[in-house]
Amino acid sequence: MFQKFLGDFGIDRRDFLVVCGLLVNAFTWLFFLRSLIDKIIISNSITDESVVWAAFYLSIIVFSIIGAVLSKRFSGLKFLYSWMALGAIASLLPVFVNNFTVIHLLV
Amino acid sequence: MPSCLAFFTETTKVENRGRIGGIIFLIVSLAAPLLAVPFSALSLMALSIICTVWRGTGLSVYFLKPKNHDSPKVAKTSFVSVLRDRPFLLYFVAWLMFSLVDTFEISVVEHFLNPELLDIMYLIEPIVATFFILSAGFMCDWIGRKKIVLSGFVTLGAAYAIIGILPLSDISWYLYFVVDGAAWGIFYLTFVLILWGDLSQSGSREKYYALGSIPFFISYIIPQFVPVSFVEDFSLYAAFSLAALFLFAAVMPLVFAPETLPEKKMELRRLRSFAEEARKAKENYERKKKS
Repeated sequence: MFQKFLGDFGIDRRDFLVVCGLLVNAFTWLFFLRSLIDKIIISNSITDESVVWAAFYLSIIVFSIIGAVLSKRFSGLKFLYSWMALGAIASLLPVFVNNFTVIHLLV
Repeated sequence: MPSCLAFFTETTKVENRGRIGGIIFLIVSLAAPLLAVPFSALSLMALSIICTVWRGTGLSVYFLKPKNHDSPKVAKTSFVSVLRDRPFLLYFVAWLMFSLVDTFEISVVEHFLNPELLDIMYLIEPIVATFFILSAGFMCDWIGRKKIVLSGFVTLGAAYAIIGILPLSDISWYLYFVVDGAAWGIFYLTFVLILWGDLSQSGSREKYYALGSIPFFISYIIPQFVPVSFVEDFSLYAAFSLAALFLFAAVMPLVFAPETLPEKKMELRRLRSFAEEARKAKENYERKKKS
């Protein structure tokens, strides 16, 4: 039934699962990151909250542009996999860092 | 993010992109708060590990062996040439104006509205937006992207005009919450996911998405730097009347923007629907004739 439903949309089940998995993972990860940064701000009593948030969103814009440039240098989905792996590693950084600066948050 | 979005565009057909995007963004809108809110109570270390694991699970798509939708080699497109692309620029200006106006208005609303109404706003808007993401996706494929975006701007402009005239009436605020949520649902889907994919060619999609998503993130940056004193100096009547005016101005580029869903595809869908209705009518007629 699911396949028939997707068939009407001109996409097969595997493609839908891949696209859905990628986008759901990426956007929900953004929500998780916001909670993570919120936690860092509270636990480190950072006063310049607005600077932190501005730096966070600005870094998303900058790295989106960098990512768009770099993606053409890799073939197929390799770039996507490496970018995701990099994101996973970067999410682990707060475990190893005790004292946060805006630079740490940018990373 | 641009690569994920570009992959979405490569995988979907233009005539079905709205519906598939609507379904996926509906899942995102439901999953994100459901997952993120319970985890936000955890410690920094636990949250960090969960973030890592969650991002890592994204790599599991590798095991689904996705087909490589590698596009035929096309001439290199620079960011400057993307910005010179007239349809892109027209939609981009409208999206940027909406983001700036709406985020500024949110700063004003948060300052002036009583906490009770503010809580209602934070509850109503995401619910309405979630519902409209799905319906906008279906409508985008049915009547086209431009009409949906235009209707979003017009209704939002009307809502701003109403609270500009009656800022002390609760009913006008409720109307504003519903319309603002609906507009965010429509614009979130069309401007983040669909339009840039429609406008771009294979090989340049990432750049369109990277530039096209800038207003979305700017909308989070601007409120951080709107000083309270600046908001206090504004009268509610002036703030919302100006917002309505700027939204009207934002519609102007859209008037000149082309429809990104090919007319042929819309006609074909209408014909199919008409044929289906005719078939059903014929069956009904034959059934009645027999009985």
